[in-house]
Amino acid sequence: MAIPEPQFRNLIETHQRMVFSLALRILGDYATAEEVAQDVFLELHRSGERLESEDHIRFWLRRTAKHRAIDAIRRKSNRPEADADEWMEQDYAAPPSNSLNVSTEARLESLLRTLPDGLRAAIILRYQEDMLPDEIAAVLGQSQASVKSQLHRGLTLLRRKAAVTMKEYFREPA
Amino acid sequence: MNPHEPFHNPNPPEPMTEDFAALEHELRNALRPVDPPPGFADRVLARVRQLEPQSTESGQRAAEPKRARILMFPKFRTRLWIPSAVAAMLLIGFAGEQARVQIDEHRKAVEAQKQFETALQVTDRALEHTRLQLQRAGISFGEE
Repeated sequence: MAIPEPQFRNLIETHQRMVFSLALRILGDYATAEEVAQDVFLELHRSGERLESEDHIRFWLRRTAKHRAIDAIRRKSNRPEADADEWMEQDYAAPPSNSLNVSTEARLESLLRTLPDGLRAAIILRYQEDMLPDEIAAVLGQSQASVKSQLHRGLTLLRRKAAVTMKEYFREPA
Repeated sequence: MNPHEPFHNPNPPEPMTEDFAALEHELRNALRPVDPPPGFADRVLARVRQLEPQSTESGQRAAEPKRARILMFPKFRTRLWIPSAVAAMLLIGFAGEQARVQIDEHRKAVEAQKQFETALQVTDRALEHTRLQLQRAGISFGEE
């Protein structure tokens, strides 16, 4: 074993919430999220000798979890980008509001899953991990300006969707 | 700080804009980290243990072909190896024969050179003997 088992177990227990949550929010599926999270830790185990510090491990796990989750989405050909543009149009049609019994948070989470991969990843890193745009840029391998733009676009899109499906909570600015 | 607790920045970043403040607040609540299903760490460790012998075996298997390539070289490359060996042997034989002929010729030349030198010495002695006898008889050559 590249990393001794007790040390590796400790690493898993320290970071499993973060890795699993990232995979879950990106994938929206518990079973696949667990599979992806396990794969991420197996990969960590293989490359553990090269990871030097706790910060480095956290950074590596975030980036790998994001990549593996996006890969899993692509494998499933479940790409919500298809309907993203129609939501960016001003004259979209309102979908039926049939989720009144679901909590606001769960509904917001399900709306988040309809965002395109890139926007969703940026939003999750920002609001789940409380990361700053420059930190997100490092994880996603993009420029800070691009991340800021993605965050803004993602929030705009999310609010637009929320204004339709959760109009009791969110309203589009006039 | 308990490392198993979700990491939450006590001072969350400033909202993107005032317009998004409510949405950002709800997003932070909605995106609280969640625990993986119970036994997650055990399942990961089980997969690691399951993969380890395989990776060792595959490592051995990866090493084998290299060794095998060396050990089984003649067997798997017969078509190339046999003609090459025959050609090499013919070349060595031809070169050996050429070397033997050259050595033989050199030996004969040395022998001929020795015989020629011996003949010259004999001739010189005979001529010297004749010249001395003629000199005794009062006849001399080349002494004007």
